Amino acid sequence: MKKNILINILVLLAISSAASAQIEINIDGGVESGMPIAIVPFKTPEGVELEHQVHKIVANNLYVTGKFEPIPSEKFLTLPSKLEEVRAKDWRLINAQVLVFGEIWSLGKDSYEVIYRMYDVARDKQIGQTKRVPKVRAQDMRAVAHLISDDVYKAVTNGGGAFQSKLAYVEREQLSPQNFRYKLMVSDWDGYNSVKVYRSKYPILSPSWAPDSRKIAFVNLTKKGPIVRVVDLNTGRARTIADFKGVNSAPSWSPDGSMIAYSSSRHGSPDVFIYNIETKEHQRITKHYGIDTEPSWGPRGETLLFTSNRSRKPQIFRYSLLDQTIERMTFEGDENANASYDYQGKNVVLVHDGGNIVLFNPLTSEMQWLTKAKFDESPSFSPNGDMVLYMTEQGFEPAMIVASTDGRVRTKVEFVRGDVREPAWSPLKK
Amino acid sequence: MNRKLGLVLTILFSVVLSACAPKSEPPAEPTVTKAPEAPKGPVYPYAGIDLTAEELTALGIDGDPRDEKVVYFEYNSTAIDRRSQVILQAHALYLGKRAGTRVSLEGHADERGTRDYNLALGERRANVVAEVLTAGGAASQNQTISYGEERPVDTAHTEAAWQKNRRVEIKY
Repeated sequence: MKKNILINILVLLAISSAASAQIEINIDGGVESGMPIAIVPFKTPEGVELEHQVHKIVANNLYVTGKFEPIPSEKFLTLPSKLEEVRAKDWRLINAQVLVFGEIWSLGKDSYEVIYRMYDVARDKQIGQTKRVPKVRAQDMRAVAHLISDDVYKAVTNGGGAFQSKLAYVEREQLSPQNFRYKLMVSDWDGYNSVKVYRSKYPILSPSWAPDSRKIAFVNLTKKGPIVRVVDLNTGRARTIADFKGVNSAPSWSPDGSMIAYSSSRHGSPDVFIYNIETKEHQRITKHYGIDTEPSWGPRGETLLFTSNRSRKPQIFRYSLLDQTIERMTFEGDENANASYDYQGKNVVLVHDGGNIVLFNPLTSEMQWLTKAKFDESPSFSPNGDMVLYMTEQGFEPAMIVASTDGRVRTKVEFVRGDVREPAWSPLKK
Repeated sequence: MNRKLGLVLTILFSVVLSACAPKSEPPAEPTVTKAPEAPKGPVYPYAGIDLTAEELTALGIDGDPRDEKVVYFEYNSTAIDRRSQVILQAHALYLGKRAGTRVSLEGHADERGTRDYNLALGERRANVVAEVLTAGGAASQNQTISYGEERPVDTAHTEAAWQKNRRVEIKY
């Protein structure tokens, strides 16, 4: 693979040495709308028109989280690019609480430097330091915009942003009426920069990211049945980790990266197994004549959620690796399946009654409906737990959606096209 | 243990089903012998299948049950219904005389439910069909494979489409 999709060579430098200050704006629960924020169009060098407009990408990113309400730039009274050009009252008038502005300098042929600042309008002072991103090619402006988005997100919410993370998904191409090609794709979080990392004429499903974002485990159907494979994103090489008799499916990478849980029916009925990457040993976890599948690790690797029909219909169960106990988690509704924790372990997202995406609180068992559609599937959390990625259908076409966990904002993943399915959001870039 | 129990239940189930099948009742002795070609009882057109053409048609089987290569299932179920039972019986009878025939049983699910769960469900259906064939006397070599919901015959989001997609295809 020639294109290295993992490492964005971007360096973020802080110019001033002033102590960075976290902005103190309370955006905790119960907000009707996000925090009003103004992203000023960045000043560009004379006569240069850049394909990717940084301010638009940043505004769109922040909007999708549900925590921000970017103000349309037509409302701006002034367009500052330097600190001395900021007049706080211009921004108070349009209710902006935070201002982001900057400029792009040309360093030579297809080489730019991006400088940006954040500003607290109420206090009339800069937030943190002035940031500089040197040596950027025009085509990297999207990556710069994602970096700035994460920086703004962190300054305002004090949490990690997810805009530099990646998506994996499966794209199906129809070659002839009965002939398909399946491609495992990796893209930016908004679907841009998509790259094929594996392809097969048989269905591919259930991608699961390694915690270092360098590998993806997935299921590939073959002539002999479904097998679990792992593809290395740097080398493009794939290897098989489970091709036992029967169905091998639903891989899930452990948080420390050392193990992959999966389901295998090699002893007759599907049970959960754990594959140890270093020793190459497979350990059987569940033994039940029902279907046990879709294992998914708890955030500290001490529990596994899985789907089982041992109580007749599929429900979510939790296995403890500490004391080997199994506990039923879900009781509401006919069916609950495909559960996964967010990275903090606060929330679980699952598919309820065959097609609703539901947030499940593992402590209180409370369910919160994110969607009430019939056929929504494949939910996964953003690495900061603020958003959920899932598949739905819009006008008979598959659509990949990102929803804020409060359900307030729902946007289609902009640049993903075609017959796509099985999205999975990567962990945070390390 | 439990798989064996499942197999026993399946066999019992098939026994119960065949017990339910209409048996040929001896025709009452005609008191007036006028019609010499009066029916002697139901006509079973296919050897080993104790069903009349009408009864087969009522089950949705037109012609030789062995020509039916697909059996269908209820949602999230692996139960073999009467129609499937008859079809599998016909295949089992045929395969019983042809030891070593390689049979491929492809299990499928409808789009409802998650993809991984449906892979498991498709396999279960294929396994149940394999067990019924074996119990019915097939000495074939069964290979089961699951395609889950990945290969629907009808992609519509309707009950009619789902019904067609919840299936096991018998190939030999």
